[in-house]
Amino acid sequence: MLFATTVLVAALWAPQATDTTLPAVRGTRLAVNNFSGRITVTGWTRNEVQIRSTSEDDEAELRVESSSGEIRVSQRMRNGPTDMDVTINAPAWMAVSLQGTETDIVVSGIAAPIKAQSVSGDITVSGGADNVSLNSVDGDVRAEGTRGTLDIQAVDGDVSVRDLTGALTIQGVDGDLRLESITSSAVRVSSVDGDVAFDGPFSASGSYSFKTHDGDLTIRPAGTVNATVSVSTWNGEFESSIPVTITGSQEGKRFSFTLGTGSARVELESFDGQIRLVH
Amino acid sequence: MTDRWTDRLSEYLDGDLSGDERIALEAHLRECPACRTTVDDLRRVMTRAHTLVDRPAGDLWAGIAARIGAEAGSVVSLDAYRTRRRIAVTMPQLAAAAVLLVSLSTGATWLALRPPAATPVAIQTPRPAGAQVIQAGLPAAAEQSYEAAVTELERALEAGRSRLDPKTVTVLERNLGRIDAAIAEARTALEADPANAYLSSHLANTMQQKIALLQQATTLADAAS
Repeated sequence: MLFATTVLVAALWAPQATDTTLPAVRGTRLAVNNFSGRITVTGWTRNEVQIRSTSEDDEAELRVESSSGEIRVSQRMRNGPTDMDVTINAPAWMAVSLQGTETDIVVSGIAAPIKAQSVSGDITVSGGADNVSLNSVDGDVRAEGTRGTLDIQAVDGDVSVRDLTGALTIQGVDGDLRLESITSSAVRVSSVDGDVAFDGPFSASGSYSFKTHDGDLTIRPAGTVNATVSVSTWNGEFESSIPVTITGSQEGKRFSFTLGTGSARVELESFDGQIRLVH
Repeated sequence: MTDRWTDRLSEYLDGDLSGDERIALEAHLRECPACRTTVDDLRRVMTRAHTLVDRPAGDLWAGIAARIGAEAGSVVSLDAYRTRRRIAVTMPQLAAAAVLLVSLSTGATWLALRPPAATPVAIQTPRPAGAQVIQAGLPAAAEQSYEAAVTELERALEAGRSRLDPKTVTVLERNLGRIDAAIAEARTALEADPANAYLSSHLANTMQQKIALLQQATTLADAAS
């Protein structure tokens, strides 16, 4: 009670290397901002947050602030931003928000919401729950084992998602999107210049949308397929390893067909690429 | 602001949905103000579509402008352009425009709520000669709104450009170029097949992607300040 109503602010300054451990009550969030270098967050079973940092810059300083609801970790840019590796062990229940500019971000073992953004750097997440949001301008994004809604924005990098259970939204510009073992009733994927490969079951009342301008779509539905599939292209072509009866064909570029009971709705669109349905 | 029904509103208005789908959509409309507004706008646009040239009626634009945060008076008169091209507006284009307008409404809210740049400097984005000629694409109201949103975002981005790493700027510009190329290809295709619902939807989606990338870039510039 005292902790919940009292704001405790502790600023810790340590050059070159930091090793700090703070207690964390359930519900506390973690926010990290590291301009350059790496952020690594690993979930553990303790109700503590251990923060370590290393840098080759003698002037590098890490700032750690703790309040009743949040632990904030950031570079102290007294002499301008520098390269620093920040390594954190946090309770698996802790929601984390990680931000960097030229920063690689690696998260594992967190079973809570994750938000990670990097301008130039790769983002790799293993785990995450409820809402996971990953955003990179110039870097690859990888997510595995997420249980919940996964939202990815990637401008110039490849995206890989494996073993997802939950809604999936990806907006990419230039990069391939590889989606494997996806169990979801709501998938919305769009790209401008990238290929899209998906495998996973179509749930009975699910909605699946795959759209790209200048890439290929390869869709591998797992198990029994009950879906109403609409296909649209302009300069591309469609091929299917599943026998289909096409309706509404307009010069072979816009048509639909029903598989099984047709209960799921699937949109496959590629302006200028190949669309493949493989089973 | 989009859901599984957004892309099917035009089919609903055209009476192309099956009985079950129509019932489901009407149930959805009772619960979704955004789709209800879009359908209402589409109905009004359809009513005027027979006489629509390059500009929606003033009262319609006022409503759209209010939703996207633009000033009604800021609408550029298209009289000068009318003699150059007259484009038939199809139902799919109207539907795609409605989807885009909903998206732009979100974008306008984002613009209004984002913190001001530390050093706001208005830099007019140079446009190639003749760039304002109305191209094949969505109805004029949507195109105007889109152009206004892009211009505003580009202005904000230009103000914050110096705060971004040159490498990041290069990546952003390269990818904005990719999206512009995709938009141009979609326009060319739509010119060849104006009634193609897929092309209209694809064009609107690609325009949305440009808005989203510009928003992202502007956010980065703000964060770097």
